[in-house]
Amino acid sequence: MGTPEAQIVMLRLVRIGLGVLVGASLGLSGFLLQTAFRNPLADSYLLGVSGGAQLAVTLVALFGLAGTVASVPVMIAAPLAGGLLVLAMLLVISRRIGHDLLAFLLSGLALSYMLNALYSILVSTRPDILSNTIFWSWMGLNRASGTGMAVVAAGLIVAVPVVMSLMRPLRSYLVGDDFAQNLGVNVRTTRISLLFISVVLAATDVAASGVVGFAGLFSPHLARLLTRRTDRTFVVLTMLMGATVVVVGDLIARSVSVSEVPLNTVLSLFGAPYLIWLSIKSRRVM
Amino acid sequence: MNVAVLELSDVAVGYVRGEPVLRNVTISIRPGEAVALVGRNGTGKSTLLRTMRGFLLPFSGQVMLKGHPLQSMSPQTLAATIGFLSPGIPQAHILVDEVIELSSLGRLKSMEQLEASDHPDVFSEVSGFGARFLDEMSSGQQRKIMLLALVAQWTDVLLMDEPELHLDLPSLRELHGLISWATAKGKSVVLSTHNLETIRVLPDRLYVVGDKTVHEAPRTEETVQALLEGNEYVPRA
Repeated sequence: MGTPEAQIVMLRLVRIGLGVLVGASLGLSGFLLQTAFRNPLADSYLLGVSGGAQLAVTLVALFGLAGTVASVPVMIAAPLAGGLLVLAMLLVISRRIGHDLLAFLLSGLALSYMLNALYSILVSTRPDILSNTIFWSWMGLNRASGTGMAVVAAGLIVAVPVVMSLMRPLRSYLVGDDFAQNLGVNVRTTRISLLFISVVLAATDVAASGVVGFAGLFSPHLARLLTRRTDRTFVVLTMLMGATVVVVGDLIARSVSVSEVPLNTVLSLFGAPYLIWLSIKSRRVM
Repeated sequence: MNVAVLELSDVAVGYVRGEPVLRNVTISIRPGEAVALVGRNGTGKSTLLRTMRGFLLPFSGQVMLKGHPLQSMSPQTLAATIGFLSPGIPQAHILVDEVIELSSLGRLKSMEQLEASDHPDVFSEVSGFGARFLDEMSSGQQRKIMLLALVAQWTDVLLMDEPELHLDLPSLRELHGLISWATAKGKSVVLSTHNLETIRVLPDRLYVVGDKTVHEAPRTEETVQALLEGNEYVPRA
């Protein structure tokens, strides 16, 4: 396996590789969520999609299937089911709320708090599972593995070509339901496709690195600083920004304290004030 | 020559669940004419326009577009034949150039290209707005962009749900110019309106929506007065 130095370099590379993939995936997921809900404040963590995915994995582990969580199909299916269930709730909520961006975000936040509470209760019933290797992931990228990388990469390999081929309906949908329908776009299919792909990506991210917030919120906004058109270049830039945010965030997570700080904590530190600023801005627009 | 481009025969319209909003609707739109739908709020003008566009299926009766049943046409064919202006303001974070590109179904790439092609010479105020975001413009300006986008779609029939919304007075005149440009090109325009000026000067024909149905009314001052008073007995053509 080479010298200890070479092994450390290898571990670092895998960790950076996973960071790049998870960041790209979270960025794309955030862009799709923001487009589908026509809400620049959307993010899979803030709306509870990641929390739902995390809760589902925990449930599977608690029902004595701990061994199976390590298997790839369960590793994908459990968070996907949890994420989709939360998505269904969000759709009901958004239908009732209408186009109030902040009210929708608030409902999503409340939902994610509830899911996190359930998660804490479940974990408290079995403190031993915290030490279980399965739950390495809740820290972030600190147990990066080839399997995790493969799962996230597979999600991207499926999602990216689909999103690229959907750019025309996606952009028409962004303008409005009537506008899109008038141009021959099936509004409902477009919306559901964008949301489904977004949840698939978020689920693979939870499977590989646990809940990582705010990267999905940041990435499209950072990409917007580089290009004004909502085209394929914008999608690529969004993924690059996601990768940058996660890798830099992980670098900070590893270096600010004596022991490692969770990646989500680092991103929240920057994301929360940004979200407050965005809320003030969106309130002014309305 | 008198062949209708859009024809509704004994149509009943409404939303999926519920009673029909309008019944026994028979309307015939010829090429190159501008037709206004007038009537009080909530009588079904928008529902009728949405049925004409194929967003809603008629409960009964037949809608024919250029001799073909509307329901049998593909979304792409419809998009290239009949355009619709929504009454809403998009407020979307997307460039004007992209809106024009999408509306023209790829024929044009930008606002600049639209201005270089055959188009009505109106709304010069928003000319050169191609690189602006829609949601960073005023409601009236967004409205003008959406009207120009409808022109860019280059369809034989243009449906407009209250096109005057948010427009200032000079722009209202320009809107009339846009519609006259379209009809001079042989395109047909059907619009719903509550605007007195529009009703008085613009349409070739007038349909009154009310009492759960639609009937044609003469374009006379007597009709306008009856409409102003909310009179149920608007003269019939």
